[in-house]
Amino acid sequence: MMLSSPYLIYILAAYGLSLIGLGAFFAWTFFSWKRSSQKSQDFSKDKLEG
Amino acid sequence: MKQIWARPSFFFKITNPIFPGVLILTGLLFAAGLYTGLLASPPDYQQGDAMRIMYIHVPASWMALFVYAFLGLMSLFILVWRHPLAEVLAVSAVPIGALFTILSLTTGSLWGKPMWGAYWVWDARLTSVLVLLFLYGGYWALYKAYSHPGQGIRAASLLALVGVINLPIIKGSVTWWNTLHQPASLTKLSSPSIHPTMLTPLILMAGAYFFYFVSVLILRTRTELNMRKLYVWEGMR
Repeated sequence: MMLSSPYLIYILAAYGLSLIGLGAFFAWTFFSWKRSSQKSQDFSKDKLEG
Repeated sequence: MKQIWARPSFFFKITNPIFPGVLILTGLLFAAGLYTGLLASPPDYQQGDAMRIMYIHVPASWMALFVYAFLGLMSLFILVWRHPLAEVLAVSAVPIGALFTILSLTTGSLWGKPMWGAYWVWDARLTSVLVLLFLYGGYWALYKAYSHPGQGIRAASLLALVGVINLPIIKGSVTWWNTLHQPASLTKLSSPSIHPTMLTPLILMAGAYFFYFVSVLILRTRTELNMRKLYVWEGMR
């Protein structure tokens, strides 16, 4: 059983770091994209109105 | 015809319909890979449960190399054909490749401590992968050293092309030199030396990492295109 493995701490650290790393990077990328899309739309509106 | 696929509008046209599917596929492959890797696959007879680290370490290493090969190809398009979309794709891919390389090195260290007794050894494979991380870092530093986004790209592309030499070195490091790192278990020319119960989570996680790359590349490319549009508009004000 994996839970009683002497390597559990290494397995948890490896999987934890990978998932947190990939998840955080994806979240940062997603919000950067959202922010850039919003800025781009606002700028287009300003240009049309101005 | 050649100019059509170089246009950013072509990128949006192609990626808009496929993006939700790629995202769902990434999630499903991660779920299946984690289930088979952590619960369904048996422990290795020599390495025990530490073998499970391989299911995330090996795909991260494969992707670190794949992204660099992709970067090399895009750099060729930039230097030879001055392809505008290749420039955006290359710049968008670099942080993803660096992330995979960092994950490959950290998960490898976490496997190395219980198996080799050390987090790090100056082994040919480990050192050449560390060089790969420096190449990603060097590309980014060179690209960002210029104030205009288009200026640093040629110097960075040249560095990326020179750095491609490191890919066969990484691949061959375990056979050319006497290393602690084990040789490849999966090669094109021979049947896999690992059991199907262990091959399944490895393939599933490799698929998950690949589609993760595709989905993040799409998002980062869209962001970069938006930022460049804003940069041009700001300049016109």
